[in-house]
Amino acid sequence: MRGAGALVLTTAALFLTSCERATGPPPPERARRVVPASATACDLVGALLPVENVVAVPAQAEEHSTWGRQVALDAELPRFPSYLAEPILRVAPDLVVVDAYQSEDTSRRLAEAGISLHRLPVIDDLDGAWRALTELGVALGRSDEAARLIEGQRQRREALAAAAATRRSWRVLAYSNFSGQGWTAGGGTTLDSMLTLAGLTNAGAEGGKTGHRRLTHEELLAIDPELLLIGAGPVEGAVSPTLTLLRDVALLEELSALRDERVVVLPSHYFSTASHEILGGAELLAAEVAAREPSLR
Amino acid sequence: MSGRRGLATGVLLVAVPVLLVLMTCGGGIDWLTPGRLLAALRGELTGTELALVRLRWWKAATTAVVGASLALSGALLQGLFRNGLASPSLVGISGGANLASSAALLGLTRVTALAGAAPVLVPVAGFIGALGDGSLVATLARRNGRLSIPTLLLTGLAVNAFLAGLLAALQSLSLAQPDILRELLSLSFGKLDDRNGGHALTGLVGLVVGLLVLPFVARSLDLLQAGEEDAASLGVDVPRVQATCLAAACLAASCAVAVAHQVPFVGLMVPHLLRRLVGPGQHVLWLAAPAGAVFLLLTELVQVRVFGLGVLQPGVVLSLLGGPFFLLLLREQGRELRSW
Repeated sequence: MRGAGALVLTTAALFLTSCERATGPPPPERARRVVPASATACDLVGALLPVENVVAVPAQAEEHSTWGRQVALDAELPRFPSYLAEPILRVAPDLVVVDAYQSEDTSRRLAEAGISLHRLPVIDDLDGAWRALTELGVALGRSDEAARLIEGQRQRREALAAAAATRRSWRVLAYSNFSGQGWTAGGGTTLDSMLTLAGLTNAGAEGGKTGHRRLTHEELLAIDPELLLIGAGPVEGAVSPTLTLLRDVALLEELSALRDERVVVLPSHYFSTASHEILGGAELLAAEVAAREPSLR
Repeated sequence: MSGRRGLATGVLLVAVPVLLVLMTCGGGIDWLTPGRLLAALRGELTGTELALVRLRWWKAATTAVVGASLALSGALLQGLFRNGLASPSLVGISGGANLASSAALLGLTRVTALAGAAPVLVPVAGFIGALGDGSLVATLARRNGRLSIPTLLLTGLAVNAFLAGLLAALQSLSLAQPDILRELLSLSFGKLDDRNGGHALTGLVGLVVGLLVLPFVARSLDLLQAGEEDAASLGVDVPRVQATCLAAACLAASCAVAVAHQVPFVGLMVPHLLRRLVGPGQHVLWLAAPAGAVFLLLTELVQVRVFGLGVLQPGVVLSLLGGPFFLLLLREQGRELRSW
C-alpha cells in the first residue's frame, strides 16, 4: 500500500515537473549568437540585435518577417525549414527565441543540450508586442535598446492617432481567400489592432465578433465594407490571389469596395505580422487610406 | 523457405538495421565521420557534437522501434485476418491515436499551465486512444463470444470513418488558429525527429510484448491460414489465438503511434515485401520486426538526404510509396477480393 502511494506521488511529481516549459540554462548576460525560431521572433530579435548576432533563421523569415525583408540576409546564413533541434544545434547558439506555439519536444531537446531558450508570449496587439520586446530585451541583455524602441514607437502611435482624429473612421474589413474559404479577423487579433491604430473601424469585429473566423460570400455582401484590406500573397509582384478571387466571383460585383476599387493590398509580412511591426502596417494602411480619402468621401 | 536462405535473411536483418542506425547517427544535415562516431562511443565527444550524436541516436532508436512495431503489428493482423490488405490502421489504431493526440494537443493549448506537459500528455493520450479504439473495434466485432474476422474488418472501416469525421471537426475548430492547426496536421504525418529515450523506451515496451507473444501464436497462425475449423481440428484454440494476436498487434502499434504519431503503410508494406523475399509462412512473423526497422530507417535516411532535414514528415514519403503499393496489391488480389 505504502509502495503504491510512493509510486503515485513520484508519478505526480514527475508530471508536475513535466508541466514546466523547457527554458534551458539562464541566458548569457549579452547574447551574441541568437536564433529566432519564427517570423515573429525574427522581427523582435532583429529590432534589438545587429544582424551579425543572428546565426540562423527560419526559412519563412524573408517572406513573413518585416525584418527579414528589410535586412539583406546573407545567402550563407543557415535557414531551417522547420523548428527542429539539429539545425539549431549545428550553429551553436547561446539563445533561441521561440514562439508560444512551437514544439515543446524540440525546445526540450535544445534545453537538454544546454541551449538557453526565451519563449515569447502570445501577441494580440501592440501593447502585447511591447511587453514581449521588454522581456526579450532583458533576456538579450539589451533592455535599453528595447526601451528606446518602445519609446520611439509610442511617439509614432501618438502621431498616427493625431492624424486619424482628423479623418472619419472608415469601415474596413480584413479579408483573405486563396480560393478555399474566406477569412476575416475579428476583435482581439493583430489585424484588429492594426485597423484600430490606423483610426479605422474593423467591420469584422462588428457585433462583438472576435478571433479569426470564416466568412461566406453572403456574409461578405451583408457586411459590405467601405474598404477591403487584403494580403499581397506569397508571390512577389503577382496579383494577390484574394483580389483575383474577389474579381472572379460575379456575385461580389455588388460589393461597394470592389465596385469603387477601394481595396488596400498590404505586403504579406504586414498582413500576417504578430510583432511590434503591427505599427508599421498601421502606418502604411493609414497612408493608403489618406491617399484614397477623396474616393471614400 | 530453405534453412540457409532463412538464416542469411535473418543475419541480414540484424546486420542491416545496425548499419542503418549507425548511418542515421552519422548523417543528418551533414555527415559525422566514422572516427567521430567512434569517439562518441568512447565517450570522447563534448558540446554540440555530443548533443547531435545523442539527438540522432534517439531518432534512430525510435525510428527502428516504431518501424519494427508497426511491421510486427501488420504481420500479426494479416495473419489473423488471412488477408494481405490488413494493417494496424484497419482496426482503428492509427485513427484512434491521432484523434486522441489531437484532442490532447488542442486541450493543452487552452490550459496554459499544462502547456509544457505536451511531450508527456500527447503520447499518453495517443496510446490511450489507440488501445481504446482497438479494443472497441475488437469488442464490437465479437459475435457470441467469438471474434468474427469479416465483422472486425467492417467494424474497423466504420469506426475509422467515424474517427476521421471527429478529427476533421477538431481540425475545423482550429482553422482560425493557423499555428495550432499546423501542429495538429503534423500529428497526421508522423514525427521521428527530436525524440528522446522516453520515446524509444515506450515504443520498445509494445515491441517486446509483441515479440514475446510470437512463440505462442506463430504456428497457430500458420494453421489458421487453412481456415478456423481446420485449425481447430488440429488442436488450435482459435479464440485464444485470435484474442492474443489482436491484443499484441494493438499494443505494439499503440506504443509506436503514441511516440511517432501516424506513420502509415509500414504495417501493410513490410509483411508483403517479406513474403516476396522469403515466401509465406510463420517466418514472416519472425522477420517482420527487423524488416520493419530496416524499412523505416532506410526511407527516413533517403528522404532526409533527398529533401533535407525537416522538409517532409515521414508520413508524406510513406504515403507516396504506400498508395501505389496498395493499388498494386488490389490489382494482384482482385480475384480474391471478388470472391471475399
